[in-house]
Amino acid sequence: MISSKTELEIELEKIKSFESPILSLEQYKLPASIAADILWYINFRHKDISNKIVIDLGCGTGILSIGAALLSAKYVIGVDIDKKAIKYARENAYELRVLDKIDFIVGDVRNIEIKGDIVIQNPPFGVRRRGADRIFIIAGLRIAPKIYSLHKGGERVRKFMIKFINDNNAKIEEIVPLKIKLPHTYQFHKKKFYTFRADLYKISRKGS
Amino acid sequence: MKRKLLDILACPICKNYPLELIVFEEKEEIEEGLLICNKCNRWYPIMESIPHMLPDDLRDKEEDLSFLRKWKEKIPENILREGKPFNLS
Repeated sequence: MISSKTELEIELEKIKSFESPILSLEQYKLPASIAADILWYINFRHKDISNKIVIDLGCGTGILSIGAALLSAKYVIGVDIDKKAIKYARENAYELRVLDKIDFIVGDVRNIEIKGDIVIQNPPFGVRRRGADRIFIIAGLRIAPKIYSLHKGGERVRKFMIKFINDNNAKIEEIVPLKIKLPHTYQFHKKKFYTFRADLYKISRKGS
Repeated sequence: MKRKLLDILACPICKNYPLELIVFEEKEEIEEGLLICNKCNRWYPIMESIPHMLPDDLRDKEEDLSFLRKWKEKIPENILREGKPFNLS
């Protein structure tokens, strides 16, 4: 059993990431420290992981799915359009001994039809493919009454998100600002590390 | 794939629920099998314990056909003949 955030982070450090990330899908590995922060916040501030059915959309190699399973989710389903990422995710879950609590599915978030208690997602920021982030919010709200979604930081995105989420019959309950430091992932990243701001949105369907 | 996935999963295309499961190989979980939508007649493969639920245009036709051939003894006749998006007829 995981008893501290540090312990969770140490476990999540073991997760293997993409050998060759796909740029159009904006694949990158969420740092273990950030994944641990997000999951700890969701579970200990809002009690939204333990004993819940958790869906991870765009799960990649599975860091959030596996973290949710480590925090005693009842059942976790990770969905990704990339077969290779899903294979990695299963291997990672096996290595971290939580495969018995997780299913990974190859699917497209635009039409996957599944029901869960909560959605936790780190969607593409929509930098490479415009609107990718919006597709994930709509999918998340179809799948669960409550979603936690990570997006690009900054005033402009926040303004857009407030309107977009309201237009989709949902409301933002909290915004948690995060600073993410990533190692060089793609060729065009010139610096060894680069840092960007992100916001974790807690969103719920109106009337739920 | 765990059997309990069937409790929360529907056909991504026509939204029919529940899906029918045919198991070819099972150990701790279902390793090879088939999910069938009895409404729109689509089938989805379970390969190496992973269900593949992609929409028609993102499916790999060659891979799907070889899956059907490999398991044809265990796949219902109507799927082999009329299953969507690909079949053996």
